Amino acid sequence: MSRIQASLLLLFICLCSFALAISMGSTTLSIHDIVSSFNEHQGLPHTLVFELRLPRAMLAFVCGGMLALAGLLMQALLRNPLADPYILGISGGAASGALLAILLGMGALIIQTAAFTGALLSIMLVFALAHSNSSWTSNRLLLTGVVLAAGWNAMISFLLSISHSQQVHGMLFWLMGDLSYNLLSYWEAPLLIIITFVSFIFSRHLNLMSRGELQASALGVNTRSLRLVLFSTASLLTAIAISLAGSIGFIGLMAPHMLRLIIGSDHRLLVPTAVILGGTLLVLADTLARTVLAPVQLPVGILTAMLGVPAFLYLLYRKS
Amino acid sequence: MSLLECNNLGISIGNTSVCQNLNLQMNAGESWVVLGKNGSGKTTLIHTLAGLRQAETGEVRLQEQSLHQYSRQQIAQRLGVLFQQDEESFPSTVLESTLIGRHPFLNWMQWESNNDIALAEQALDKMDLLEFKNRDIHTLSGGERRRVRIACLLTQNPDIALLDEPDNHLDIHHQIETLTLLKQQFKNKLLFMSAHDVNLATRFCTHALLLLGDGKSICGKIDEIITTGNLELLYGIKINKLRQDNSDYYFPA
Repeated sequence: MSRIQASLLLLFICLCSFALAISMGSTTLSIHDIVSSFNEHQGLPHTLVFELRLPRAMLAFVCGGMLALAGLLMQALLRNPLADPYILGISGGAASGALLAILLGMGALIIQTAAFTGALLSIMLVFALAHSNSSWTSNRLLLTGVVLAAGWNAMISFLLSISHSQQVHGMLFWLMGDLSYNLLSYWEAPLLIIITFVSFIFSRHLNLMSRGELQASALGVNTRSLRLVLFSTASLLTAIAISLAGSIGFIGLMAPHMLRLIIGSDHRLLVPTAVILGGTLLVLADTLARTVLAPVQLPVGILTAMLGVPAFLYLLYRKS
Repeated sequence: MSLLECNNLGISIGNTSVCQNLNLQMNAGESWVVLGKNGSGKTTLIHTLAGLRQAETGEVRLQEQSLHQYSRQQIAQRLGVLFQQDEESFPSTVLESTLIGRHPFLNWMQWESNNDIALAEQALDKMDLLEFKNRDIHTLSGGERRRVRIACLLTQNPDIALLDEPDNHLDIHHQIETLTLLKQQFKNKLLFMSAHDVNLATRFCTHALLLLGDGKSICGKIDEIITTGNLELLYGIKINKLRQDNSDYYFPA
């Protein structure tokens, strides 16, 4: 399968995932219903599609795309295949903020704000620590993040252990990722498109960066500023995604690797396809999360892993 | 015109001094070797000459202008580096790894043209690697990966090549073949390499720089610098010389 064919197939799967997300649910909509919902501006199909399912699918797509892109950028920055958007402890900071807000009985908007604040706090902490010393190496950055994440984990366990059992349920959902609380406002999707476009323009630099900073620098990349841009962009994307949907694991790590196994490691293809694959995976996972045990809704994080793990292992062992 | 020079260059790593007041003037057509014990700072010197590390005192001048006046891309258009190790942690094909040598010559939106690909393929051909062009570099041996890096440098085709132990990982056949090829490719340009093999250095280089430790160094034409006395001073062991076919060979006694 050529790279172009693979990208077209991915685009097709992406459209299918949206079709599924719109048609599946408490009331199954046929293709006819969906088409008519675009024409008739009233009635159940229109409400279901435009007020419930499409906005939620959009939220899933944007969050998944952001996480996958953040993971890809983190991997290029840290030159470590195990890097994911949460590796620098951002999710821990966000989770601590969100859980604290839940513990205090706050509403969705405050929880979202608290999560974002926690994520920013964590980002600035990592940045200040890693930058206080002039020798910024990727291993040092990685260790700082991993150790901070361990600290945040203790904080999360502490908050869980002092909470009432009714609150713990909501907290666990937040920790596993849940798309039912928030909706996109007007700026997230355009921001993702802009960042994807800018990353695409710099993808030849990313190709070099992922081969080592000295090599990149010797071939003309301004690694100092690129490092800073990568760090802040990846962190920002993660903070936004996590404050919208909780800490959805797995997508940021796996989507870039799945693509490397299929289309190779040229970031000019990886950047756009990672956004589409990450988004598609989350749309599919969320559709399943709200339908497999309906009317019970599962945390979407469970489904991303259930879908992604077998798909990833298949790709990994297919060649050998 | 001197391609690369350093004036009063002083470098140290921690408390160890690599060189003090080092003055070098390196011209087109010359090939320099830097010799020294492990940890004497050969790699650090190469990184400083490439502008990847700040010198403590003095300055490096590239084509008679201070290195600071160039952007990284402008430096990369003139000067290429072969590092001692590569840090590739993600899969990549041999051709992709070679093609990155064209990066300094492309503007921010440009993709590699067929011409760039042809240049990379020619370089791979010279390194006997063309048949491997679609293989993942992680499936190659250490010596083959080394040759991919050299192919990348040939693709970049700079006026100045700084090579950190270019003979690393190469068998003697490929050592001679690769250095002969580099010598020929950089005939009217400048080669600057670090090495441990004195006899390879005398065979391929015109000038030598010995890093003696404590910031002391000697430099000059190779036949004036590479002598039994200087080598004993450099390595701290007894050195013998053997003469064969009009060439001198040095080895530990």
